[in-house]
Amino acid sequence: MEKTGLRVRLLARIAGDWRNREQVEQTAASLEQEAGHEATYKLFKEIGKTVDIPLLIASEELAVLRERDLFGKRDSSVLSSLNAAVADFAVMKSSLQTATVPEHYQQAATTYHSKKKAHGVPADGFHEAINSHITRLGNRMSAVGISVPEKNILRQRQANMRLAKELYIDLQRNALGLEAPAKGKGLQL
Amino acid sequence: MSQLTTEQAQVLHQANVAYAAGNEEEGVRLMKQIPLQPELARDAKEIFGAEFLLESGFDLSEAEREYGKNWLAS
Repeated sequence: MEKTGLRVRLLARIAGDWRNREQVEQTAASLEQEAGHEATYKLFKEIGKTVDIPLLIASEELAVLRERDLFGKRDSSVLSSLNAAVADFAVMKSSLQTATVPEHYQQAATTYHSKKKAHGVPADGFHEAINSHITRLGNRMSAVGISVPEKNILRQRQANMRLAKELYIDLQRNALGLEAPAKGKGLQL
Repeated sequence: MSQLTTEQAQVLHQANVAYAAGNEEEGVRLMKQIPLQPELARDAKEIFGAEFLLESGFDLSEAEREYGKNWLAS
Protein backbone atom coordinates (compact mmCIF):
# COMPACT_ATOMS: atom_id res chain seq x y z
CA MET A 1 0.00 0.00 0.00
CA GLU A 2 2.88 2.36 0.79
CA LYS A 3 4.10 2.11 -2.78
CA THR A 4 0.77 3.35 -4.07
CA GLY A 5 1.45 6.64 -2.40
CA LEU A 6 -0.76 9.02 -0.53
CA ARG A 7 -1.45 11.14 -3.59
CA VAL A 8 -2.88 8.22 -5.53
CA ARG A 9 -4.90 7.09 -2.53
CA LEU A 10 -6.24 10.60 -2.08
CA LEU A 11 -7.13 10.94 -5.75
CA ALA A 12 -8.97 7.60 -5.63
CA ARG A 13 -10.95 8.75 -2.59
CA ILE A 14 -11.86 12.15 -4.02
CA ALA A 15 -12.94 10.50 -7.28
CA GLY A 16 -14.89 7.89 -5.29
CA ASP A 17 -16.71 10.44 -3.12
CA TRP A 18 -17.59 12.49 -6.17
CA ARG A 19 -18.84 9.47 -8.12
CA ASN A 20 -20.86 8.25 -5.14
CA ARG A 21 -22.47 11.64 -4.82
CA GLU A 22 -23.33 11.66 -8.54
CA GLN A 23 -24.85 8.20 -8.21
CA VAL A 24 -26.96 9.23 -5.21
CA GLU A 25 -28.13 12.39 -7.00
CA GLN A 26 -29.48 10.27 -9.83
CA THR A 27 -31.62 8.04 -7.65
CA ALA A 28 -35.39 8.43 -7.70
CA ALA A 29 -35.39 9.22 -3.97
CA SER A 30 -32.93 12.07 -4.47
CA LEU A 31 -34.93 13.53 -7.35
CA GLU A 32 -38.09 13.30 -5.27
CA GLN A 33 -36.32 15.04 -2.40
CA GLU A 34 -35.31 17.84 -4.74
CA ALA A 35 -38.89 18.22 -5.96
CA GLY A 36 -40.00 18.27 -2.33
CA HIS A 37 -37.53 21.06 -1.56
CA GLU A 38 -38.93 23.01 -4.49
CA ALA A 39 -42.45 22.71 -3.07
CA THR A 40 -41.24 23.73 0.39
CA TYR A 41 -39.52 26.78 -1.08
CA LYS A 42 -42.74 27.85 -2.81
CA LEU A 43 -44.66 27.49 0.43
CA PHE A 44 -42.19 29.62 2.38
CA LYS A 45 -42.49 32.17 -0.42
CA GLU A 46 -46.25 32.16 -0.05
CA ILE A 47 -45.90 32.62 3.72
CA GLY A 48 -43.58 35.54 2.97
CA LYS A 49 -46.42 37.28 1.15
CA THR A 50 -48.49 37.44 4.32
CA VAL A 51 -48.21 40.19 6.90
CA ASP A 52 -48.79 37.71 9.68
CA ILE A 53 -45.89 37.94 12.15
CA PRO A 54 -47.00 34.98 14.32
CA LEU A 55 -47.21 32.82 11.19
CA LEU A 56 -43.83 34.02 9.92
CA ILE A 57 -42.22 33.25 13.28
CA ALA A 58 -44.07 29.96 13.80
CA SER A 59 -43.16 28.63 10.33
CA GLU A 60 -39.50 29.41 10.96
CA GLU A 61 -39.59 27.92 14.44
CA LEU A 62 -41.13 24.73 13.08
CA ALA A 63 -38.37 24.48 10.46
CA VAL A 64 -35.68 24.96 13.12
CA LEU A 65 -37.24 22.40 15.49
CA ARG A 66 -37.37 19.90 12.64
CA GLU A 67 -33.68 20.56 11.92
CA ARG A 68 -32.85 20.08 15.59
CA ASP A 69 -34.67 16.74 15.61
CA LEU A 70 -33.11 15.63 12.35
CA PHE A 71 -29.53 16.91 12.55
CA GLY A 72 -29.01 17.52 16.26
CA LYS A 73 -29.28 13.84 17.04
CA ARG A 74 -26.74 12.89 14.39
CA ASP A 75 -24.30 15.71 14.98
CA SER A 76 -24.04 17.12 18.48
CA SER A 77 -21.77 19.95 17.28
CA VAL A 78 -24.73 21.70 15.63
CA LEU A 79 -26.96 21.34 18.69
CA SER A 80 -25.75 24.48 20.47
CA SER A 81 -26.51 26.67 17.45
CA LEU A 82 -29.95 25.11 17.03
CA ASN A 83 -30.67 25.43 20.75
CA ALA A 84 -29.66 29.09 20.57
CA ALA A 85 -32.12 29.50 17.69
CA VAL A 86 -34.89 27.91 19.73
CA ALA A 87 -34.10 30.28 22.62
CA ASP A 88 -34.26 33.20 20.18
CA PHE A 89 -37.81 32.21 19.19
CA ALA A 90 -38.87 32.28 22.85
CA VAL A 91 -37.58 35.87 23.05
CA MET A 92 -39.30 36.85 19.78
CA LYS A 93 -42.65 35.43 20.89
CA SER A 94 -42.46 37.07 24.28
CA SER A 95 -41.54 40.47 22.78
CA LEU A 96 -44.30 40.10 20.22
CA GLN A 97 -46.84 39.45 22.93
CA THR A 98 -45.78 42.62 24.74
CA ALA A 99 -45.68 44.76 21.62
CA THR A 100 -49.24 43.88 20.63
CA VAL A 101 -50.53 45.62 23.79
CA PRO A 102 -49.42 49.28 23.55
CA GLU A 103 -49.71 49.95 27.31
CA HIS A 104 -47.54 46.94 28.09
CA TYR A 105 -45.00 47.84 25.48
CA GLN A 106 -44.80 51.48 26.58
CA GLN A 107 -44.03 50.31 30.09
CA ALA A 108 -41.47 47.79 28.88
CA ALA A 109 -39.86 50.43 26.65
CA THR A 110 -38.97 52.52 29.69
CA THR A 111 -36.54 49.77 30.68
CA TYR A 112 -34.66 49.84 27.35
CA HIS A 113 -31.50 51.88 27.01
CA SER A 114 -32.27 55.04 25.09
CA LYS A 115 -29.12 54.68 22.98
CA LYS A 116 -30.04 51.22 21.76
CA LYS A 117 -32.33 52.10 18.91
CA ALA A 118 -32.93 50.81 15.42
CA HIS A 119 -34.96 52.75 12.88
CA GLY A 120 -36.11 55.07 15.64
CA VAL A 121 -37.54 52.33 17.85
CA PRO A 122 -35.96 50.44 20.77
CA ALA A 123 -33.61 47.68 19.61
CA ASP A 124 -35.21 45.30 22.08
CA GLY A 125 -34.87 41.56 22.55
CA PHE A 126 -36.87 40.85 19.41
CA HIS A 127 -34.32 42.76 17.30
CA GLU A 128 -31.38 40.96 18.85
CA ALA A 129 -33.00 37.55 18.52
CA ILE A 130 -34.16 37.95 14.94
CA ASN A 131 -30.87 39.54 13.83
CA SER A 132 -29.02 36.55 15.26
CA HIS A 133 -31.30 34.21 13.41
CA ILE A 134 -30.97 36.11 10.12
CA THR A 135 -27.18 35.82 10.46
CA ARG A 136 -27.49 32.13 11.32
CA LEU A 137 -29.50 31.47 8.15
CA GLY A 138 -26.98 33.47 6.10
CA ASN A 139 -24.09 31.43 7.44
CA ARG A 140 -25.85 28.24 6.49
CA MET A 141 -26.46 29.51 2.98
CA SER A 142 -22.75 29.85 2.33
CA ALA A 143 -22.02 26.27 3.39
CA VAL A 144 -20.28 24.30 0.64
CA GLY A 145 -22.20 21.36 -0.79
CA ILE A 146 -25.69 22.64 -0.10
CA SER A 147 -28.09 22.09 -3.00
CA VAL A 148 -29.65 24.98 -4.94
CA PRO A 149 -33.22 24.13 -3.82
CA GLU A 150 -32.04 24.00 -0.18
CA LYS A 151 -30.29 27.34 -0.63
CA ASN A 152 -33.47 28.83 -2.09
CA ILE A 153 -35.42 27.69 0.97
CA LEU A 154 -32.86 29.27 3.32
CA ARG A 155 -32.85 32.52 1.33
CA GLN A 156 -36.65 32.69 1.47
CA ARG A 157 -36.68 31.88 5.18
CA GLN A 158 -34.21 34.72 5.71
CA ALA A 159 -36.43 37.08 3.67
CA ASN A 160 -39.39 36.03 5.82
CA MET A 161 -37.46 36.88 8.98
CA ARG A 162 -36.56 40.30 7.55
CA LEU A 163 -40.24 40.86 6.82
CA ALA A 164 -41.16 39.78 10.36
CA LYS A 165 -38.68 42.33 11.71
CA GLU A 166 -40.15 45.06 9.51
CA LEU A 167 -43.66 44.23 10.71
CA TYR A 168 -42.49 44.14 14.31
CA ILE A 169 -40.99 47.63 13.96
CA ASP A 170 -44.39 48.81 12.71
CA LEU A 171 -45.94 47.27 15.82
CA GLN A 172 -43.40 49.05 18.02
CA ARG A 173 -44.13 52.38 16.32
CA ASN A 174 -47.82 51.82 16.79
CA ALA A 175 -47.38 50.94 20.46
CA LEU A 176 -45.20 53.98 21.10
CA GLY A 177 -47.33 56.33 19.01
CA LEU A 178 -44.49 57.08 16.61
CA GLU A 179 -44.94 58.21 13.02
CA ALA A 180 -43.83 55.89 10.26
CA PRO A 181 -40.91 57.35 8.26
CA ALA A 182 -41.84 59.31 5.16
CA LYS A 183 -42.20 57.35 1.96
CA GLY A 184 -39.01 56.93 0.05
CA LYS A 185 -37.08 56.76 3.31
CA GLY A 186 -38.35 53.32 4.04
CA LEU A 187 -36.74 50.82 6.28
CA GLN A 188 -33.36 49.52 5.31
CA LEU A 189 -33.47 46.14 6.98
CA MET B 1 -21.27 15.46 -15.25
CA SER B 2 -20.64 12.17 -17.02
CA GLN B 3 -22.90 9.30 -16.14
CA LEU B 4 -21.35 5.97 -15.27
CA THR B 5 -22.25 2.95 -17.36
CA THR B 6 -23.89 0.04 -15.55
CA GLU B 7 -20.55 -1.78 -15.54
CA GLN B 8 -18.72 1.24 -14.14
CA ALA B 9 -21.40 1.67 -11.48
CA GLN B 10 -20.83 -1.95 -10.50
CA VAL B 11 -17.09 -1.35 -10.22
CA LEU B 12 -17.78 1.70 -8.05
CA HIS B 13 -19.96 -0.45 -5.84
CA GLN B 14 -17.23 -3.07 -5.55
CA ALA B 15 -14.76 -0.33 -4.65
CA ASN B 16 -17.13 0.94 -1.95
CA VAL B 17 -17.45 -2.57 -0.56
CA ALA B 18 -13.66 -2.97 -0.55
CA TYR B 19 -13.13 0.33 1.28
CA ALA B 20 -15.85 -0.53 3.80
CA ALA B 21 -14.09 -3.85 4.45
CA GLY B 22 -10.81 -2.02 5.05
CA ASN B 23 -9.26 -3.26 1.82
CA GLU B 24 -8.02 0.06 0.50
CA GLU B 25 -5.58 -1.45 -1.96
CA GLU B 26 -8.42 -3.21 -3.74
CA GLY B 27 -10.51 -0.03 -3.51
CA VAL B 28 -7.82 2.02 -5.22
CA ARG B 29 -7.30 -0.68 -7.86
CA LEU B 30 -11.00 -0.63 -8.69
CA MET B 31 -11.24 3.17 -8.68
CA LYS B 32 -8.50 3.27 -11.29
CA GLN B 33 -10.82 1.39 -13.63
CA ILE B 34 -13.41 4.16 -13.53
CA PRO B 35 -12.60 7.18 -15.70
CA LEU B 36 -11.39 10.08 -13.61
CA GLN B 37 -13.73 13.05 -13.89
CA PRO B 38 -12.13 15.48 -16.41
CA GLU B 39 -12.23 18.36 -13.94
CA LEU B 40 -10.56 16.26 -11.25
CA ALA B 41 -7.95 15.02 -13.72
CA ARG B 42 -7.23 18.62 -14.75
CA ASP B 43 -6.91 19.70 -11.11
CA ALA B 44 -4.64 16.74 -10.31
CA LYS B 45 -2.43 17.64 -13.27
CA GLU B 46 -2.23 21.21 -12.03
CA ILE B 47 -1.41 20.23 -8.45
CA PHE B 48 0.59 17.01 -8.76
CA GLY B 49 1.89 17.34 -12.32
CA ALA B 50 1.30 15.54 -15.62
CA GLU B 51 3.95 12.91 -14.97
CA PHE B 52 2.36 11.84 -11.71
CA LEU B 53 -1.01 11.58 -13.39
CA LEU B 54 0.37 9.47 -16.25
CA GLU B 55 2.10 7.11 -13.86
CA SER B 56 -0.80 6.91 -11.42
CA GLY B 57 -2.66 4.37 -13.53
CA PHE B 58 -6.01 6.15 -13.43
CA ASP B 59 -8.30 5.98 -16.46
CA LEU B 60 -7.89 9.37 -18.15
CA SER B 61 -10.15 8.65 -21.14
CA GLU B 62 -12.82 11.18 -20.19
CA ALA B 63 -10.28 13.94 -19.66
CA GLU B 64 -8.73 13.12 -23.03
CA ARG B 65 -12.13 13.29 -24.69
CA GLU B 66 -12.86 16.57 -22.97
CA TYR B 67 -9.52 18.34 -23.39
CA GLY B 68 -8.02 16.65 -26.45
CA LYS B 69 -5.30 14.04 -26.97
CA ASN B 70 -2.40 16.25 -25.98
CA TRP B 71 -3.95 17.76 -22.91
CA LEU B 72 -1.30 16.36 -20.58
CA ALA B 73 1.52 17.76 -22.69
CA SER B 74 0.10 21.26 -22.98
